[in-house]
Amino acid sequence: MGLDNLTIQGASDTFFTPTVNFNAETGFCVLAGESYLENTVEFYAVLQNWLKEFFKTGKPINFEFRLTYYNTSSNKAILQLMNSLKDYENTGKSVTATWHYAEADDEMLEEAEDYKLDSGLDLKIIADL
Amino acid sequence: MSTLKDYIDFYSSTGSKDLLISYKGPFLEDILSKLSEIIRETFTGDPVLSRKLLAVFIEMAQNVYFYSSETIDVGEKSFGIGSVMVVSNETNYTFRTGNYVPLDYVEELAASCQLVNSLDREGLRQLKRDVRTTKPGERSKGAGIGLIQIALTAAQPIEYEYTQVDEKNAFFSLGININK
Repeated sequence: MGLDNLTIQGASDTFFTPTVNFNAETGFCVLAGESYLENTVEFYAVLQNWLKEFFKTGKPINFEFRLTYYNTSSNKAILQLMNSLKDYENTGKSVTATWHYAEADDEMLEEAEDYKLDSGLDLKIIADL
Repeated sequence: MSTLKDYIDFYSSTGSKDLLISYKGPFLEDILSKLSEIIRETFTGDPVLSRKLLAVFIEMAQNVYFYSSETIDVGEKSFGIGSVMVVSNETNYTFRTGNYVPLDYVEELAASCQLVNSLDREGLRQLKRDVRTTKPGERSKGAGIGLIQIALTAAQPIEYEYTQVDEKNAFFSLGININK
């Protein structure tokens, strides 16, 4: 029994759900869009549980953060995702993590810098035009 | 608000062509969502400004939603009552919320605002990092992360004022400017 991919289609309704594409085969995982949820803890627990299962495979993981907006509740949950990636790396596994932000948005650059400091992850920060 | 004149006064006090949003009532999720849609739709041409305005609006609305001492039951849920206004001035956008808060909480809220205003950008970033790594259940130190985020996004001091309105409540007003 292999692990299934985790796919959540992003939506902006009453709340904003980010797009999730976690690939169990390739280890390529993307979290994109906007995150402002009715139940932040439950939503991110699903992502954390998937990662926990994926980490059992020992495969390399390549995680891309492509968030354009998130509220302060999501802010903490995103750090916890990075902490999990760092824990995996600490067990000797290969972890690549990148943070994409709009070049003109200095605040999102600061966010990335602070996430990098707090998680200890070698987060690659990429400005998109 | 019994006479037409009273109502015209009310209308004039909140109305100008520069008024983007004015609302008073229960902070229902659906209403907040519609109001944030106005912000999004108005600023689609400037994604950075749009994100900032949306971020400030949502954190300010949550502040009312969680801390208003006036509530109303709508269906099976209870919602905080408050007011929010967004005005477009010559040089900036002004957000203002006003709501009742319990008297025994108002000093703490004011102290949080004062702390946030006393810090420079680096200080705010550090405080936000400290607050977000505070374990659940532990009392967060100094200020709520929402308030810190508002100050970081606006990059300007928070304007706050309050006054006691009855034996249990104060009216608390929060104002934020974002440069155009």
